Amino acid sequence: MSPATLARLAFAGSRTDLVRAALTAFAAMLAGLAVLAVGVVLNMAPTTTMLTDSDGIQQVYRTSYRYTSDLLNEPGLRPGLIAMVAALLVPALFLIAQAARLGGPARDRRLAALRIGGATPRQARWIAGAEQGFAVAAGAALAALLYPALHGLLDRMTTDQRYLVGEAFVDGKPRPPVAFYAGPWRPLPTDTAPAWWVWVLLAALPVLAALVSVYALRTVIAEPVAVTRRARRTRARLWPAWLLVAGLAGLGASRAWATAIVAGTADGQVPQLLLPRVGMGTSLAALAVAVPFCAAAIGYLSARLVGRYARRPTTLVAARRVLADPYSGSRALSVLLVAAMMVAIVVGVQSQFAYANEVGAVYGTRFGDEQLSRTVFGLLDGLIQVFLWIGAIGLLVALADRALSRRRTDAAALAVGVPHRTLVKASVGTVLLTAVPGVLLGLAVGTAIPYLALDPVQRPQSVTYACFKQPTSSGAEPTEIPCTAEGLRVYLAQQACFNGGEANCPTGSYDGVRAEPHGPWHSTLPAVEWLALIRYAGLALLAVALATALSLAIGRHGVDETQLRTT
Amino acid sequence: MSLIEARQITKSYGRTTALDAVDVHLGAGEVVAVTGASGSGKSTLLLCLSGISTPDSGEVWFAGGRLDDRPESVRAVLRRTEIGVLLQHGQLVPELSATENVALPLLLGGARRTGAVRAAAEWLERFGVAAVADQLPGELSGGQQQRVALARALVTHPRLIFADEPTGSLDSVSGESVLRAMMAAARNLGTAVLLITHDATVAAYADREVHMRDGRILSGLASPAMATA
Amino acid sequence: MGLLSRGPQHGYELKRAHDDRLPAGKPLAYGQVYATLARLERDGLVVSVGADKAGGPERTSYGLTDVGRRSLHEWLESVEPPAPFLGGVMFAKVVVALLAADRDTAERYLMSQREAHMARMRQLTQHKQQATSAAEAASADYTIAHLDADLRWMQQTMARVDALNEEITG
Repeated sequence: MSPATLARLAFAGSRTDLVRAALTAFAAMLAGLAVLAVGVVLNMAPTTTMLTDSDGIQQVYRTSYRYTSDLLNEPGLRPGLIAMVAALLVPALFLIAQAARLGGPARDRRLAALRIGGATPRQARWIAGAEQGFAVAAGAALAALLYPALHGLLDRMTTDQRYLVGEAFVDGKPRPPVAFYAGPWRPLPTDTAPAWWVWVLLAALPVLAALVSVYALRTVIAEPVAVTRRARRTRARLWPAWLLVAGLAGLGASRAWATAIVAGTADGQVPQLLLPRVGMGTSLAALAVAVPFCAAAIGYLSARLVGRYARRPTTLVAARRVLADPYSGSRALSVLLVAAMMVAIVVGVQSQFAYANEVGAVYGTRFGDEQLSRTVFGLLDGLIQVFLWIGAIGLLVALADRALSRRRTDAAALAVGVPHRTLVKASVGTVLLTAVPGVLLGLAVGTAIPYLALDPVQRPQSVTYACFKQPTSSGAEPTEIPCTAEGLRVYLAQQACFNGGEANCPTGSYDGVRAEPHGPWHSTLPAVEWLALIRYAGLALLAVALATALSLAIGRHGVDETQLRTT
Repeated sequence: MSLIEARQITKSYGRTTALDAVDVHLGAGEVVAVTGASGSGKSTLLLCLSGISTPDSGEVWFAGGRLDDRPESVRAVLRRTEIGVLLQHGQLVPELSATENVALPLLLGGARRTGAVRAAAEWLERFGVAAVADQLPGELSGGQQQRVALARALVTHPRLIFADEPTGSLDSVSGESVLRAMMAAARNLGTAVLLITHDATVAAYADREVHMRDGRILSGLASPAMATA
Repeated sequence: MGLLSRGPQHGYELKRAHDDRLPAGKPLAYGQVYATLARLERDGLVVSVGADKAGGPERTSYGLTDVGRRSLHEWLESVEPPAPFLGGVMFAKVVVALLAADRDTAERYLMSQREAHMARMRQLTQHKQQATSAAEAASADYTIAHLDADLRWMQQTMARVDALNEEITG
């Protein structure tokens, strides 16, 4: 088979195939950009140096804080940053997989016809792989071209000295002589080029995509004349439930492990938390996989229930469709469900964070830098947005594909007199039967995760305060004065204001307050933010229903009588 | 020596036995009709003889060599060069034009595009569908599609073609014209034909008939040499 | 003769049996029955075995001779030359086969008749392909179509053989 023939056969396609190729290329472009971003973040030069100070002790000095956000500067936050950027790959790869399924039946028929016409399995594999590979290659190439442009566009610099970081003295000892970075500062790591292996990975993406598509089409290629006498019977599988339980258990166990390690670490040593962190990451990944499958299982069971008691035909049809194919529906929803989970996690973490600070403020402890935490949560929100949008696009693609492949049966139904509205309602019902339990499950799991992964907040039994005032003459010791409730309240408000970096803070009557917490300490957890979760659930389901209706509008545009022609 | 032979082949799908120890043979240039009701195993016989499926037991011999134990790639090549296949529907690639569909076996075999297209055009002309050469299969009528499929089956000058209910969805007039074209071309090339049908008038185009019921051959009596009319 | 294969019958019984068993054919006239019986007797295929009363032909029973029986079986094993409008004869043969012999004989007959029909159809199809005039082709088509109809009937009857057997002999 000559390359020209291969090209002709790989690109022989209808309009649906073109849409599929375009969508795949788009998704591949996103994946490529994500890969490049990961490559940049992994390639960032260290921002600190280990030096020996005047006492001969090894210390870490902040010598090269080049960015405006500490998220990028702090070496301790680097793993989290890498994780977040790497997480962008997930929806992109998902979208590629979803796009690849568009117009599947027609493509299967084409491959079967090619095989009957005399193509060997090897030739058929080349054709199938080339089709997918070219689309992904186009996307990856686009990403590679776009990257320098983005790089230039996002490269800003500021010489605002407030970002200058570097101290002359650390621990009372002068810093050893070392040059430290004095500007300009960038908001994004646009001073870093991606590691060299990223380009290799980018080139490997099309090959990978081709291999995956060949694997997915292996049955059609092997047996083009499929015997359709056996009816497929799908049953809800049980393993996702086990995976869910395992994931949650793993999370709790990793946290206990981490606590044990921290407790067992001697003073001055850095606790080796890599393994528990890996454990947590794996557990989270397992949960992300388990949620959509569990949703499918629940959808299947609820469809069985609904199907038995359904009175209206639309409900019955919806239930039957879910029973026939429970997994494809949840597959399309999977990114959205993971997004729901992430939303619940973020809500939970934020609430725990706020609660911890609330408790801690009472006795003068603060957890985390305000600005940093704002950046982190902002980024997480951004990540969730990406997941939501990509998930919605993926869902739309899957639904449109289903609507298009149903054209023949829908055309027959319309011809017989079934109103279009009924078809719409049936389709919306099908999607919702899996989406509702899925979203609820995702939110529930996501809410449980912070409780399992984070340590509870310790609340002291009581706190005693000692209030001081600094006499006007310098050098004198501050004198203790009795505390008043009002004065304390103002003082605490003032501290909160300072920490928030705001101007115009209230002035208090005390110059200093010493708080002493007394045990016994109680472990407390914040309450679940029901309202926020309900709101998100409603929004998600509304989006899903709208997506379904929209996809049917697309499908309707194509329903015509030619579908009913037999000769 | 027969061109193709099935020896005691058996094939089941799940609990249904489609073929039960079937013996069938076809000589070079012979035209044989396989008749029987639906479910009698005719289509399965075609799938096994053409190498598209492998029988569960028994042997299929083609041109002196075994067919059923060769790898799928070899069988696919054989299907392209020596054996032509004509099904009832679903065999043309919907996204390729009629000419490209006919040229497909040649192109897959590595032929140059110009030569393949020329050969395809000739065959389309021979079957009277040259006018629709650039159209897609979806735009053609059933009879036209079958003639394009026939052209594709014959374009590599195979020694044998299998036709599974080729006129099944056609009216009697279109069906007859397709059959006549097929028989004329086959006789010209010396191609043997195995014709599967449940229609007696179609089976009457063959030299002899093999009648199947429930996966078994009922009668394979060869009629005496045709008395000159 | 097939109707006699079971045992001696009177003339009027024969007529009634004929009309019952072969509903597709025309009802026989009495005269035709006796004329046929007389001819068969003359040829030595049937013989009168007795009479109820001393009386006319209506009361005489007739039975098959050995020659007659053999002749009947020969007929059952043979096929009719394929031609249009055979229907009644073929049906009669099937019924008689079921009466005189067994179900396998009836099936065998149908299969052999089918072979004969197919052979003729092949001849006609070849003829048609080589026909020089449209009239020849049209005439061949006519016969082919009718033979096809017979073949369809044969196929359906073969599927019904057991039920028929039940009815006729039961």
